[in-house]
Amino acid sequence: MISPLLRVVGLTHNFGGLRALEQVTFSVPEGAVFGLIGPNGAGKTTLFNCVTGVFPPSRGDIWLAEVPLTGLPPHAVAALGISRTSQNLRPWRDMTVLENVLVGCHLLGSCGLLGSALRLPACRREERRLRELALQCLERVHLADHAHDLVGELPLGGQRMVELTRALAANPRLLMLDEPAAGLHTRETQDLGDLIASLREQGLTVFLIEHDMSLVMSVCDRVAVLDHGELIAEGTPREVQADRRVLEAYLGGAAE
Amino acid sequence: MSRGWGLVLFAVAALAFGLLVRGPYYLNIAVFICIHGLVALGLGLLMGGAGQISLGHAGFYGLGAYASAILTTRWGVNPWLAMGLGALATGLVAALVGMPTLRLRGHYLAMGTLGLGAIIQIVFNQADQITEGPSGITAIPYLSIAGLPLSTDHRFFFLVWPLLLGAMLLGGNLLDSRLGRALRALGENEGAAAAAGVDVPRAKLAVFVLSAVFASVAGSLYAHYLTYVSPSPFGFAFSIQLLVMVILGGEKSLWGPLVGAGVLTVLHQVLAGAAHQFPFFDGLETVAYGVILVLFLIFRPQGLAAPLRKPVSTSPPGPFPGAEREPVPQASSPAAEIAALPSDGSEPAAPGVKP
Amino acid sequence: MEWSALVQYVLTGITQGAIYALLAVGFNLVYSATGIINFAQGEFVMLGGMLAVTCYSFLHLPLWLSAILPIGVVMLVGAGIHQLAIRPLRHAHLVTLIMATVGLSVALRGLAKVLWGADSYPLPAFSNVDPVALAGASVDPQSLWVMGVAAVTGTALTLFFRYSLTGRAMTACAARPLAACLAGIRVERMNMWAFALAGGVGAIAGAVLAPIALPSFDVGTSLALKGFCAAILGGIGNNAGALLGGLLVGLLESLGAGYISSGYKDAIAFLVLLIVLVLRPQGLLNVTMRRDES
Repeated sequence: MISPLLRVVGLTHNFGGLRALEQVTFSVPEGAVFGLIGPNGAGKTTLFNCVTGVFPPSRGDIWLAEVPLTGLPPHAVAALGISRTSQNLRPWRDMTVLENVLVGCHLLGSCGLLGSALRLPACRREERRLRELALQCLERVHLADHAHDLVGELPLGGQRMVELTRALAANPRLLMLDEPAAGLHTRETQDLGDLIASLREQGLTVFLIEHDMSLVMSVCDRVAVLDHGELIAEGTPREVQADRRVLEAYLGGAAE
Repeated sequence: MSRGWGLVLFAVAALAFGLLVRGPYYLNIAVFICIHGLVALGLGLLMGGAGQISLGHAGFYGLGAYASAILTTRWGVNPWLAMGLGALATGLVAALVGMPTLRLRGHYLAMGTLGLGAIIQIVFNQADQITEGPSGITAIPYLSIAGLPLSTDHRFFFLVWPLLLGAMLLGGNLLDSRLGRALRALGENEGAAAAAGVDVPRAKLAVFVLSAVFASVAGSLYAHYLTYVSPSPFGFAFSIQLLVMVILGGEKSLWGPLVGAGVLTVLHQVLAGAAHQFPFFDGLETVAYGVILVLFLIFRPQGLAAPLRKPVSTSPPGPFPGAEREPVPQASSPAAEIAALPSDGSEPAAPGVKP
Repeated sequence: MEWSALVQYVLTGITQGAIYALLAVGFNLVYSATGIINFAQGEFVMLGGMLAVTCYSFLHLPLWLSAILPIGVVMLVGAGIHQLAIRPLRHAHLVTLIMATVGLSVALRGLAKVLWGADSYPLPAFSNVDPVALAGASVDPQSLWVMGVAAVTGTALTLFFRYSLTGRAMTACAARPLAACLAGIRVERMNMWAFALAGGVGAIAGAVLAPIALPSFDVGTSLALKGFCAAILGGIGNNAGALLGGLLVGLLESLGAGYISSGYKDAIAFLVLLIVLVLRPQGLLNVTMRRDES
């Protein structure tokens, strides 16, 4: 039995009177690619936001390995080893590709205001180390040639790649991707699938929300299905695909 | 290293100006450009870096000036030490206001500094036991270096421009550092910066305190230059002038605030001169500030100092997956905003309250 | 402690508080619709007062007309400001918009100085009757006018938002701009209305205040700052809060001036502002913080 890296227990979240998540319980095994699917409005992004501390859940607990995450602010969650991308949290368009990745390396450094402003030797060394690291990350995804371009000038596929690289630069234990394939075309989606598979090979745990079913079915080890804030199924892609309630949820969602 | 060259150029120009120009009128303007430039530089780091506004920077400027004035005239503290103590105290005051307000999202810092600035000026006016009230403190000693008192415009100019240069160097280093990138990142998208592990309130607080310290040092310089302080220059009106300087020059560039300080200080001199001859110019000067500010916001939001065009990337466009695609437009039209709404049950991140 | 003095302070406080409440309502109108903190709100009040004085003393119009005419004019000014400076910036960052209102406020103040110079001008009280005695204190009839007009304005706005088509459309825009847009409401036009109404409310405050505090070109800034403190205290965007905040700031100021120190009177509102920001940034009457930024 593989130990779970992320455990979500009884997670409930309300927006005013609206119940977005209801008693959601599941766990993401270490080293797995875990997919979260569900119709629009099912609460998937809300779940991501609760896990990463964007807003504290109304009830329930979240654990990363043995460390409780509940109630921590986003930067503290990130410091524990969770990197995420998101539909809304786009890369910083006014910064260069390299700078974007360097922001991703934020947690790997420690220089503060005075050290940076005075360029103390320790901070210069740290800066050099981070730059090398960021460039290595960019080389791995073949973006090194574009290191000094503004991200806003890249095509969508390139921007998405920068964001992924930024998230990976922090060397996370858990990578959370919110609809990484949205807006990409087939070819790009395949490349993305290959990348996720190779990350899995390297032992990284990936937790992703995705609408593209072919991607989910090809890369995920396990899939959970949310509908109206409730977890209605969890299992291997094949099991989930055959689940009657899942089919109903999707058909019902389509009929709305 | 274009920024390095810029600083060298600035140093050469300032040196030449200082050596060639002898008239106290021009030197006086130049000194004030440097002093205002120092405050504006700090405010620019806050606005351009962290995307926050302060409506009370005149108050921090005043705290530095009064700290120097009071410590040197009442207790005979060494002026340089007084400058340092003033900066320390101002930094502490800034931290006290910044800590609660910067935890919150939105523009609570603007509100907090607005209140703080107003209170500071009222205290200058009212606490006449210490501050001599509206009439102000006179006979503040000159700063001196190695026994040489900086008592002329000329000598003082040779103190302020190297100090400003040093501050710009610090600011430039900061913007290019880990913290600087974090600040720029959170200025553009706070949530994303936090997700990357940036402690957003702390980063904002750091740059806010730094900008208050810059203002305080500039205030101390002001006090020792004029050897006289009174409450009137440290009010809301000057806080607004500082904002105009930063926006006029462009808060995203290191040079912007200095350029803005230069333009506005000269403009003030010219308009004040004109107002001497034509009294109705007095009001027109104020109108001009307001109109310039609005026009710049509408027609040149990047400010005077920003490059005319975006830097064109030097490397040729390479093979991206999907390189033929256009970048997604930013959600601005209603339709785009609708498209950008989270498709989930989550609350829309922004209710789109833009007019 | 003398009772008559206390009563006098309370009456002064309520009068001043009613003015602050009107300013806070003006802030709320623009804030609810657009998320902008309109720094020109104080200049609306200044314009209302100056125009009333101009109509009465220079154009020799009857007093009642002199008080009412500026309302329309300043509403036009408000709408004009929106069309000329705010609307072109509709895609800009919120900070930029706030800065634009700062610029407008400065420009209006300068313009007033050019037009009217630096003098203060008197306006006679609305009712030519003697002060009324109350529990040993004397009530200036103009104070009653201030309180009455503030109450009527508040009620009229509430009715406007509840029952008129434009008012309901504005409410819809403020609550859910996208949904309102989908329902065919023209958000831009509603925002213009918000600025116009804020101008109108400002002018009302300016005219009714003029007989008590002589208007001059620079009265706007300090009034706006105090009104802003009142709005934050009550909870920005909340009109009941504006009333409560205005009265509290007015009372604290008047009692503080009376019993503690008249010199620090002006600092009281700002001290209240700082305390509110630390302890309850959403204000007294708002339950949660409004999330006005992405």
